[in-house]
Amino acid sequence: MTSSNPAGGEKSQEQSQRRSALSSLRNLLIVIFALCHGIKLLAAILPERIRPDLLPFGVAHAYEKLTGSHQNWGMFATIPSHHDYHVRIVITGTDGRERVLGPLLPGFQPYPVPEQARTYFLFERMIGEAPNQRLLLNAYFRRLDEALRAEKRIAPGESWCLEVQSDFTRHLVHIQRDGRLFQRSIQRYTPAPASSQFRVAP
Amino acid sequence: MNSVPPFGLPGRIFLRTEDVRVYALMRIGFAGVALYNLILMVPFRHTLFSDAGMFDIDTAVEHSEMASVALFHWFHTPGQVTLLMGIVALSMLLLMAGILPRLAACIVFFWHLSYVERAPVGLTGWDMVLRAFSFLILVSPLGSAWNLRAWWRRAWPPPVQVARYGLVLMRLQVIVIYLQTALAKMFDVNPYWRDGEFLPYYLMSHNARWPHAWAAENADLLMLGTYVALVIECAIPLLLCIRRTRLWGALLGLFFHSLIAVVSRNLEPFLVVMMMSYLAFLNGRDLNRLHQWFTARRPPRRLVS
Repeated sequence: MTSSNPAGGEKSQEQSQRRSALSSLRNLLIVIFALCHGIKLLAAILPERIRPDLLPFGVAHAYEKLTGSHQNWGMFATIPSHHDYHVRIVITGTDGRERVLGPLLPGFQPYPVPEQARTYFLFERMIGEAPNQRLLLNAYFRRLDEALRAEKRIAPGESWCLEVQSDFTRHLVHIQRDGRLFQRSIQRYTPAPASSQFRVAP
Repeated sequence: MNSVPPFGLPGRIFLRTEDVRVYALMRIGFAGVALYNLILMVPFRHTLFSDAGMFDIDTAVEHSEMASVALFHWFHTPGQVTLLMGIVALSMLLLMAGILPRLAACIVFFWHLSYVERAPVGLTGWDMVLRAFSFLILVSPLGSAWNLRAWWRRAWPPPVQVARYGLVLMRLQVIVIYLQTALAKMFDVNPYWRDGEFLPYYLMSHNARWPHAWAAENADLLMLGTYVALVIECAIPLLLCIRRTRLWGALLGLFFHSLIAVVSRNLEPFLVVMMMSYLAFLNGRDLNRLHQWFTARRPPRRLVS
């Protein structure tokens, strides 16, 4: 539609120029964002030790955290060493008798059988060696202790621990020799008294 | 959009146009798979995300330096977590239906960002893929194609062309997932992949559907399988990148991930998530071809007098 009014024509021309400028700016922003994100993605293919630092660590880290774009893919890069895995809480009474509870809060639900990927990762990573994960394990131990006492699952004088049964797959050569698939290891983790740290029971 | 995009090579890569229906398909596929994952998480919602679960929000905040964005600050009791998951499920349905898609995509993105920070040890590989795609969906053109409103009115707007930067980034994301994984396997400090011993160990592990000593007895045969798996993992992104081999790449990926899902326990969601990511490699012509293929097979309607 055209306007016979010269003032109206100027206005529409001005609007069209503004629209074109805005469109160019939008395209420029898209290209800058997509280029930065794309380069960051491609750089992630390189092994970490030779990866170039395109941005200061703080900026790159904040961008990754805020956009959820941290690239750390390595599905099954290491072999799954467990043939089977099971976790439970063991309460030892004052007479030395033991009773068991499930390790999942709330409600001390049992460790699922058949195993669920999420619950396996939950315990395997929490109990793992990475120092920053111990924060979660200690918090879990505090929560367990609180819940055991609040729900009166544990009486005064009784003690509890987290028992992890790990069936480690044996070496191929050994399995070929006798057909036995795994070596069982049972670890008990107890909350250390007067401290938030956990320890492995002897 | 001009036929020759501005800003040189980056402009040609990111601003060249693509059929908006591909974005719509991606939006629907992503929302559907994210909803499926959300439903799978329902039994674990209190354990992983509520204050009554394994660890409280303060510990999660301390563990993650940027948990300030977590939705769980406002939804932390068991009831609130259930409510939040209901809101997110509704947002996923809205995203799928193309109703208020940007707002829905924003909620879905914050959900993924938040639960990853809230329960960092209870995560799986497909959670991370979904988180990466939730951001790319959020910043992509969502368009008006294939939405519930148009379907209800039976008035489909003609497919328009929009900038393809979102699809390019999604394709790059898929390539990075495969190549980084393959390189991690080849150069890991442990030699299991290089020595071809991965598959026997995997098939006797807790991940295997039928763990049995036969895997150790047939280690030589499975060594070949380990190397083939590695070659496939490198080949999929390369085949997907080349237009002429894209279909073969997708079929190889489908075969590979289906095989993993069959021999493994609990890894079916990974198959579904990766198949969703392949949708980003389609284009308008593929959709037209698919449409023709389906309509050719549809039985003709009978005229009733």
